[in-house]
Amino acid sequence: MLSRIILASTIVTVVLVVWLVARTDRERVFYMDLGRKLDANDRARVRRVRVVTLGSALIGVAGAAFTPIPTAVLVSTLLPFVPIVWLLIEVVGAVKSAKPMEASLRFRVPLTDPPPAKQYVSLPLQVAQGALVLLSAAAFVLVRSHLPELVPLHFDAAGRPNRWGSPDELWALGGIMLFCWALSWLIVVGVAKERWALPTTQTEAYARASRRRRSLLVRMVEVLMLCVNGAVAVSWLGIALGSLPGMSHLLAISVVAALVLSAGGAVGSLVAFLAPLAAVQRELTALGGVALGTRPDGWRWGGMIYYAPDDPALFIPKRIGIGQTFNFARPAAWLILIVLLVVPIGIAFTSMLLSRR
Amino acid sequence: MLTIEVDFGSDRPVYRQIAEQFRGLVARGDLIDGEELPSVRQLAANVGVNLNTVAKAYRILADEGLVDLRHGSRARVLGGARARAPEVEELERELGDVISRLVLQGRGREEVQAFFETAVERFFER
Repeated sequence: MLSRIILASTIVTVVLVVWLVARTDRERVFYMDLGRKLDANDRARVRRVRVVTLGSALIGVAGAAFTPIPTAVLVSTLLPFVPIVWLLIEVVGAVKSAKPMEASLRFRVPLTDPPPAKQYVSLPLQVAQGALVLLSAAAFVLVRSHLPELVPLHFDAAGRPNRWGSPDELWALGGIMLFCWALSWLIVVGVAKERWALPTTQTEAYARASRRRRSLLVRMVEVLMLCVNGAVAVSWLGIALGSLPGMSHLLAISVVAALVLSAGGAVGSLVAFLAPLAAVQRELTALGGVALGTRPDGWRWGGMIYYAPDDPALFIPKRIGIGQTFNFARPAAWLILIVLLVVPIGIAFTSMLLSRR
Repeated sequence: MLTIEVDFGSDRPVYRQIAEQFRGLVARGDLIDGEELPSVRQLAANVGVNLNTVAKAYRILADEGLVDLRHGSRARVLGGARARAPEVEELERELGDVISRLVLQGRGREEVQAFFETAVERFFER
C-alpha cells in the first residue's frame, strides 16, 4: 500500500515538475519572466531539475516494485517532495539572477477606494467551502454516537494504525479545515489590500489587467483550498466510518481519495491558473511594471525579500514570479508568518507526541 | 477614474505634490463642492506614505479654503468659489522664479511664453 502511495505521489509531482519545466522558453525559466534572455546558467538549472526529476521517478518505480526496508521508508516517503524542493531551489537561484524592470517612482493613485475583497471571491466556491465544512461536521455528529470507544488516529508507514484514541480527537480535522478556509481568506484580503497604484500612461488598461491578476490569484487559492479541504473531509469521514464494524475497507479508500483530491487540486489549480497568471503578469510589465509603487531600495536579497520601513503596505506583489510577498519591515508580516508556521507544525508535533503515548 | 500623480523621484515633498494634485482637480472642476476626498488612511496606504504626510497635504488645502476638515469624517471639497483668494504678489513671485529658471536654461522671451501656453493647454486638456 505504502509503495503504491509513494509511486502515485511521485508520479503526480514528476508530472507537475515536467509541466513547469516545459514552460521554459527563450525568456522564461520555468514559469518566470526573468526580464532578460536565458543564459547558460539558466539552461543548467533546467537540466539539473530534469535529472533530479528523472531520478525521483526511477526511485519511485523501484520503490513500488520492492517493498522498502523500514530504514528506507522515511527516505521513500520524502521522495515525492524531492523534485518540487529541487525546483524551488533552482527558482530561488533564477530569481536572484533576474533583472526585473525597475518599478517607476512616478505613478497614479485612484481617488476611489480600491476594489473590495468581495469583488475577487467566487460566491459558488465560498458556498462550497462553507457547505463542505458544515456538512462534514454534521455527518461526523451523526455517526459519532455509533463509533466505538477507540478509533484509529495515527498510521505507521505501512498504513497500519499505531495509535488509537477517542473519536472526539477527530474534531482536529474540522479545525484543519477551518484553518485552510481562513488561510484562503487571508490571501483574499492580502490581494485586496495590495497597493492600488497605476502607471501614468495606459492607466485604465493597467487597472483592468491588475484586477484580472488579483481575481486569478484568488481563484487559484480558492480552488486549491477547496480540494485540500475536500481531502481532509474525506479523511475525517473515512476514518470515522472505517471504524464501524465491517466498514474497515473505507479507511484505504479514503486515503486514496484524499491523495487524489489534494494532488489533483495542487496540479489542477497550477495547470489551470499559472499560464493565465503569467500572461497577465507580462501584460502588466509591458504596461508599466509589476510591483508599482514599491520602493526600489526595499527589494533585498536579489529582489526576493521586501523590507521597506518607510512603506506602510503589508502585502506586496512579487517583482518576479507570481503571487505576493510581505513587507518584512511591518511587525504584522512576522506575526502572520509565525501563525502560518506554528499552526501546521503544532498539529504535526501534537500528533507525533500523542502517537508515542 | 480620478487619479492623482505622485513622484517619489521628485525633489518636491510628497505632501506638496498631493496638495498640488488636489488643487488642480478642484480648479478643473473634477472635484466639485461637497465631494468627499479619500480617507487619510486609504490615501496614505495607496501612495505608500505615512498618515501624517497625507494629513499635512489636507491641512494645506484646508488652510487655502479648498476643503473642509472635520474630526471623524472624511475631508470634503468646499469648491473653488470659497477658496481663499491667493496672494497675487506671492503667485507672481513663484511665477517669476519659474521664469528665471527657464531663462537660465537659455530660453528667450518667446520660448518662455510658448512654454506657459503649452502648460495652460495641458492643464485644461487633462
